[in-house]
Amino acid sequence: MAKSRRDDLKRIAFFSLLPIFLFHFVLIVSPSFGTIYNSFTDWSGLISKNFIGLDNYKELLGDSQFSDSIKNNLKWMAMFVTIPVILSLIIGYMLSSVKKGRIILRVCYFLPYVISAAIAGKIFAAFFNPFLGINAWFESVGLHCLVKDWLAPEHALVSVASVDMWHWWGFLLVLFMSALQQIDISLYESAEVEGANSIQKLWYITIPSIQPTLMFILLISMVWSVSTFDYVWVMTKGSSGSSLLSTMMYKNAFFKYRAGYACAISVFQSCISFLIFGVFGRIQKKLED
Amino acid sequence: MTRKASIGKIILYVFLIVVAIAEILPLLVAFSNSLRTNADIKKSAIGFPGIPQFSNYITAWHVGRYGKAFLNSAIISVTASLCVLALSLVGGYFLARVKSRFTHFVRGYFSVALSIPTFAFMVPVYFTFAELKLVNTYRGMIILFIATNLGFNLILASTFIRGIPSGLDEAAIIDGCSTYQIIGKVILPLSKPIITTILLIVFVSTWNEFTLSNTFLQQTTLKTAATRYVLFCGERGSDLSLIYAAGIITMLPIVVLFLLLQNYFIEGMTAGSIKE
Repeated sequence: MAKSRRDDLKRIAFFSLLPIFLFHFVLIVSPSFGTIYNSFTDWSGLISKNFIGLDNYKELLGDSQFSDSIKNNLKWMAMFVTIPVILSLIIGYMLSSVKKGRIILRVCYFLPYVISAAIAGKIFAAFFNPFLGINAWFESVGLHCLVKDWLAPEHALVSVASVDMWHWWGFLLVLFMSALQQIDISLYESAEVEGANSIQKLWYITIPSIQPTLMFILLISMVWSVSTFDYVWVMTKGSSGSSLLSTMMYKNAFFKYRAGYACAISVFQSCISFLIFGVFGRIQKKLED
Repeated sequence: MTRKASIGKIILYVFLIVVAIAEILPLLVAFSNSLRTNADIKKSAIGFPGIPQFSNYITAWHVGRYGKAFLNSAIISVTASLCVLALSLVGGYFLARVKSRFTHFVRGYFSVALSIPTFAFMVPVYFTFAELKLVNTYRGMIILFIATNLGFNLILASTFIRGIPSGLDEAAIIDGCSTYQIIGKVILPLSKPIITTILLIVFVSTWNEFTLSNTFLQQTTLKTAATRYVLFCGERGSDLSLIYAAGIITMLPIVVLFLLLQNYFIEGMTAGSIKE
């Protein structure tokens, strides 16, 4: 009786999960294999395509826009693994030591995270307008050093990344705060008895205790830096010195009729992402031992 | 000692408040500008409205046809959230309760598939959808959003359901319930927290989504509110008062929802990010 019921349940589970699995496989995983296959073709996006071996990859090696994009992605990554992480850790540490007003402060920090990149990006693009934006205000209050064409080639990448970080760090703050709440208070108390100051407490107690969260945040920061797209596309379309792998791929796929070449860039991005996952998995294992 | 401590506390608060104001300042400036005249904004991008120009909102709403854009967003986001919820609860139940080779495989499959970036599948999906006439349709957009949101929420639901005692299932079986009746009558009423979380995650992420919506819905009349706004800024480049007013209009529903449900938001949007 019990056994036949368990077999029944297994059967129902199989027929219920199978369509869910197939639905996901057909829409996400099988096209991902399609991307790999198409990266070896001269596909324009239409039906006909010819197998051209490694030609797309060879072309990438000589494409100066590709190397510029890689450099920009690396700069982006360097900013994202430092500035928002440090800011959110420090503010999170400070915020968890106060009680009054914590909720309203957290609402302020987190608010930009719930606003669409499309809206925030365009509003900041209006601020950055060289003639009609904040420059005139800087001029009027005497901050002449800040009067710049913020989306010009020499500044665009940093300007766009700043807007993305403005939106992003509040999310990291919340992750850090829930990790900070789980630290055993007695650790701090015994450190205080031994006369540790708050910086020593941060370094010797807080950071080691939240190490899994810190690792997770570094991991997502790196992985998402490889395929970051929305803020850049909304604000500059990847032009004027802010070309990234994703914007280059998007232009080739949807504007230049070079879907095969675009797929080669996607494959490169995915390989880097999985490499980062792999390396972090290794490090995590070593740290646990 | 106590005086020193309280001075430290004051400095701490001042610092935290300054950072909070700096963080929301761009939004306050945008709001203030949305009530100013175009000529006034062009003189200085930061300033208070002399006489609040509420007409900016009415003009922006009509010119941008935001009624239709909100309707598009609502149809897509509501349908996608409900479908993801249903699939996650049913799938999550079987993943949590049934130990077989197949459930083991599906669980492993989704935890690996979670790390596939959007760009890995977007190009072939786009051109296949174009052939199947699914580009520029609600259907196509909804199907794609269900697929991209499914994996994460399925795992989330199954983790939650595993925490519901399976003794309750046994009792329902004795009462003569079928498996799907158990899901409907036992699991569903006990899953309110995870239902709120899933609905909120999918609703907000699809409402705000840019990359896929901008690619799969190119026809102006089908655009979601956020992507409609991007197009609007291009069309009305020099009407700054309209750009700021339309920006506030498009962000308002999510901002209000966030202010009303901020605890659910913060818990929901960070759910599953932290390893247990």
